[in-house]
Amino acid sequence: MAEERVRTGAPAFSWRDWWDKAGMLVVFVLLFAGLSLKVPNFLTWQNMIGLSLSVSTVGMVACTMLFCLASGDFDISVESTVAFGGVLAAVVITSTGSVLLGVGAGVAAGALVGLANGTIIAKLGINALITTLATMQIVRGLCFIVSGGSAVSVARESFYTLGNGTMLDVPYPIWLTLTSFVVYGVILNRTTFGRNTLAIGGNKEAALLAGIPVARTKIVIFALQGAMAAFAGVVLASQMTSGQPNSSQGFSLDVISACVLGGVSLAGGVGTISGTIAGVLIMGTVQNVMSLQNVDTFYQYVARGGILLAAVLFDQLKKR
Amino acid sequence: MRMLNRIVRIVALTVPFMLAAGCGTQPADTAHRAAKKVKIGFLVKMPEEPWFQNEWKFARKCADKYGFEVVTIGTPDGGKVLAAIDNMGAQGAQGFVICTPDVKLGPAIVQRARRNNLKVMAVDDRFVGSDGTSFMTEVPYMGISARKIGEMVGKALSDEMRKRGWKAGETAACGVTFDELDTARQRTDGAADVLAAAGFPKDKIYRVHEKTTDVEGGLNAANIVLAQHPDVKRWLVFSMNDEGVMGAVRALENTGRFSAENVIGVGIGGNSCVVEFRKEKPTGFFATVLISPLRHGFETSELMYKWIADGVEPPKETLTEGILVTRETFEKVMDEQGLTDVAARGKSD
Amino acid sequence: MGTAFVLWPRFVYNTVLLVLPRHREMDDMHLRFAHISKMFPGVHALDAVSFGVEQGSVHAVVGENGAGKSTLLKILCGVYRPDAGSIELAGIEQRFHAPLDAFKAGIAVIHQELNLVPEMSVAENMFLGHMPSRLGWLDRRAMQGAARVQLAALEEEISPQTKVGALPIAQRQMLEIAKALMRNASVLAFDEPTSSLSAREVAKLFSIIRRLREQGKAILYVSHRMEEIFDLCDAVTVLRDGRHVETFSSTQGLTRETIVNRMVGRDITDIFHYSPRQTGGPALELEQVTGPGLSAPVSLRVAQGEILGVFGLVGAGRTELLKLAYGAARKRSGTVRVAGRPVSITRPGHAIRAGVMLCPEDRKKEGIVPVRSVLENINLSARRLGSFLGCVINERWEWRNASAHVRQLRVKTPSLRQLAMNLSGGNQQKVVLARWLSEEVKVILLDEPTRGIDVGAKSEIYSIMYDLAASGAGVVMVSSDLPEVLGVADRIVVMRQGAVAGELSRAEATQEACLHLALPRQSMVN
Repeated sequence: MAEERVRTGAPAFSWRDWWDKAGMLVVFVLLFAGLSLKVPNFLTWQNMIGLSLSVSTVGMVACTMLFCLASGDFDISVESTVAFGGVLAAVVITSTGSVLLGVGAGVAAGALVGLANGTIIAKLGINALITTLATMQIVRGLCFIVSGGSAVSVARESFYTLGNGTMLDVPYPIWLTLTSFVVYGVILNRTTFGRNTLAIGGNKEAALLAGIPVARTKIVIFALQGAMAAFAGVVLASQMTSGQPNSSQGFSLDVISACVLGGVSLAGGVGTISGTIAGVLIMGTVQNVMSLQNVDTFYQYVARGGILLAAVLFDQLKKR
Repeated sequence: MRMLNRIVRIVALTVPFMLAAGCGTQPADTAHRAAKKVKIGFLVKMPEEPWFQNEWKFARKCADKYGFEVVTIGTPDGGKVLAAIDNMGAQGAQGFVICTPDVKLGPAIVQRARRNNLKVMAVDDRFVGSDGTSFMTEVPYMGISARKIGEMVGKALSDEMRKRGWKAGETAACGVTFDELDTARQRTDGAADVLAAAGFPKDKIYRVHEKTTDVEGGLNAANIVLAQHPDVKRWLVFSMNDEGVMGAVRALENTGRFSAENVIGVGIGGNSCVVEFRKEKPTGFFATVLISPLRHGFETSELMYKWIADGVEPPKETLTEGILVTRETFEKVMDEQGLTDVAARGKSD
Repeated sequence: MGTAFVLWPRFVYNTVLLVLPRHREMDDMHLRFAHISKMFPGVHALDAVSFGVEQGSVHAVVGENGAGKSTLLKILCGVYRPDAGSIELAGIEQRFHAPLDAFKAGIAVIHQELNLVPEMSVAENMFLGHMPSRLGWLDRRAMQGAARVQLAALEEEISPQTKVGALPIAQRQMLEIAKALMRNASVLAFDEPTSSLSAREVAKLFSIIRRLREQGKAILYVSHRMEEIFDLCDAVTVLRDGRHVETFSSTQGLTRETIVNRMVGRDITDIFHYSPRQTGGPALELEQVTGPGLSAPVSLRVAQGEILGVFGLVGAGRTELLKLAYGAARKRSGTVRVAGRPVSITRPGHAIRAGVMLCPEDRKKEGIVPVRSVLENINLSARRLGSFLGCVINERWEWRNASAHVRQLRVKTPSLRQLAMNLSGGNQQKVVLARWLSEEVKVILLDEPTRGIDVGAKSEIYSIMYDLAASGAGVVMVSSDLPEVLGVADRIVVMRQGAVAGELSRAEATQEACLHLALPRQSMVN
């Protein structure tokens, strides 16, 4: 009685599906093309490098934020972890002289922060927003305590290569961001861990009853996020040749905005890596163009908020 | 309904393009010409503060005079500084003047500027090298002679105190400090040393650290000192700028026990304090050492322009001086200094 | 002045028009659906459905899942707008742009998920949206007075100040009816109202509905339960696959088989098709298990190849028992043995590895992941079996697995990539079942597997259960549908108030025997 409309064998191709996955990227490409024609100095190698550098930190953390949001959680403590990673690395390098130790310490500390977040949220069941709000304050405080209240300069030249060195004329931070996109894209699409994340965000109860280790998955996500944020902070500190305890204020919202712009649902269960990439690039491009045109800072805020709103509206209409 | 849906979707998609269209008004070929024109960036750490607003104003005046373009950017933290430098490189600027949000960013700024082929000059806050303590003397710098100006503050305080016939017994001094910034530390140290040398008891000079260098920071800091020493009847106040002293004076006034008769405050700046001088009744804010945003804004831009256009490198260190002005003398002096419009603020016609 | 002069003929014309009796087409149908069509992505939910409901009658609407009943009701109450066609009330075409319009036109739909605010009081809920006020201040006394009157008319003794959240479902339903009557609704529609009611509450509901019929209301009654339809309704409309099949304007001489035939398009006499089964050794043994929801230690046995029915009233603790066996709730004491060997099950993951699967009661809340595709939902747990090193997913395997089960269970979906939330309830249930069929099943625990599912699909699910049993699995089926339990199970366990009340073999089990065990000792049976 039921018609056999389902084919077996290889997955069928569907345009609607493809648009869902790559639609945002197409919008970005069109935007990019339009801007290249109209805005002077936009399509130059120098500006492209500058643009990519300016989104590198957000890009790296957006990879893990995608997982966090897709699993139905929230994390605003990343901004403090970014600063903390940089500060701790700077302090350790200055006192021990070893760059490797400094970077390792920074990343490990970030992972610990993430572990704490994950355990409190997944095992104790405390609301993610409140938990990460608290850790955001705590870690920020730690930044100032560890740094002694002011920025920590790093004298070792070898540390600078991480942020300022280039390969094929492209600075390392950009390569690192690209690598992150690829790695996390693979994890999301091709591993059980990635699919489980989406299932948990889509319906936590159902995932639990299907045997998915919900608490363990969430803890891993937060720990990864902490480590990623700290690593991004170390790279940033390398570019600034110093650990700045007050850097990256408001960074968390930038990352979340980029993800939402890229189609990640705040309710959980929906999200793609291509969308996130597009979101990061669109935000960065608009910022870059406004800077090139010397648009007043306050108008920049309005424009960024406006784009986010337009994107969410667009997404809502798509669902109707 | 379907039609409406479709229309809204298309409109939402074109918003980014309309934004782009609105942004880019220059056709592509003038980019070439624009690259030849001299473009100088002016980056400041606190764009909302009047001191930096004035620097920008004078930089623009310089730009008008010499015919170059000045790009003003606010950079409150390290990440934004680096992005701004890249941006200026992309825009085809040739150099920039910067008051850095953190002196320890010095090496990073120099490196990024070099990568973008930009000349760098520091103003107000001097770059510190990667060891964390010594100045980067290879970068041209214009700042106030902090120590000397601080000493002027100290002298003004002790002179006025003597004139009013205050006795050291019932007087204390409140110094609102911001020691992590070297130029600030030199100012407050200078004031304190001169006071002490003039015979003021060292243990009666109370120093307190402010978290931020604005009025609120000064107010909060002063409140701490007031709470610690409630029986002091007369206060001398000094800080690293006008705002710190103004904040402390506010704190004193709020207790209800202090006013112009028993407070002498001397600030540094000459911009924000105009509002104080214009008040109907004199307040505890007695005088200020006027420093010139004109020089810091105009001259630095001029030096940078000459460096770019004529290849004349600016001097490695230029220290500007201050002039002591009071309620009575400020209008005339500021007029002479070309700061008439600053002095005119708050004037009721 | 001049304009008034020019306009007066118009004035006169309008006034005369108002006074003259309206010429209306004589239509004895109070409510009429005229060629209603509605499409959703990939699915034709309704296709030119037309029929009428008389004043003062109870009109049943029946159909399989996916037939379009819920969609029709949603259009009736203004939540959806039809793509074509319209609703007519007393001959006048209605255009609803929002539920408020339907509300104002006098239409009240009482959904399965009742539209009440649990935190607010009874009176406040009854006046939701039109609370009486005096000079801007809420007139509580007027509200409560009116509420009390209305509730008394329905023979309900509920204090108007009680929080709705504290009321049992039966009373909340009465509250919904009171709400509708307050607004002088002329059309009332009920969607599966009796699924959570006791026999006594059902009798009460029916007497109220009959009274409403006498008052001249046009009543729509959507239900799967044939006995109720024959007991209560005057007319029956059958929908199938979104189309109108037939409307019987009287239930006189109508048989169950006829209706079922129209619903499925074929004849089904006995849907259970029971045949005795071979059973083997023990598949699942629970010994003295205690935990949340159980008032006494429970012991239970299911043999391989056996179907065990677990019957009981709402609150008997059946769902809790299954959850304890599955590891979804923490067991306080007792042992669990699978295939004779004790296993430690503290998480669903352990259960699955031991071969024990659970199909939860509430498919929307605990079963499907709404925003993910059918493909992902089916492979939710089993993907680890087809994956490389348990980590990297094997898309081909997943696709083949899902296609096979979609075909086997006849899940109606335009593609495997369709989001699970777009499927009808019955198909969602099949997806959840498919999830477990992908695994090696030793014991399967089914909690109300055929609730809210049409006859045709029910029979398909029974045959799947039989296949599972035949392949050696132990099947435990919790159900509140007594005929179903009696028709399908080899053995029946009856639970009452958190403990096992008794066990009956198939031969011993009769409706009376089961009910006798299931009813609480201080019985309220009239």
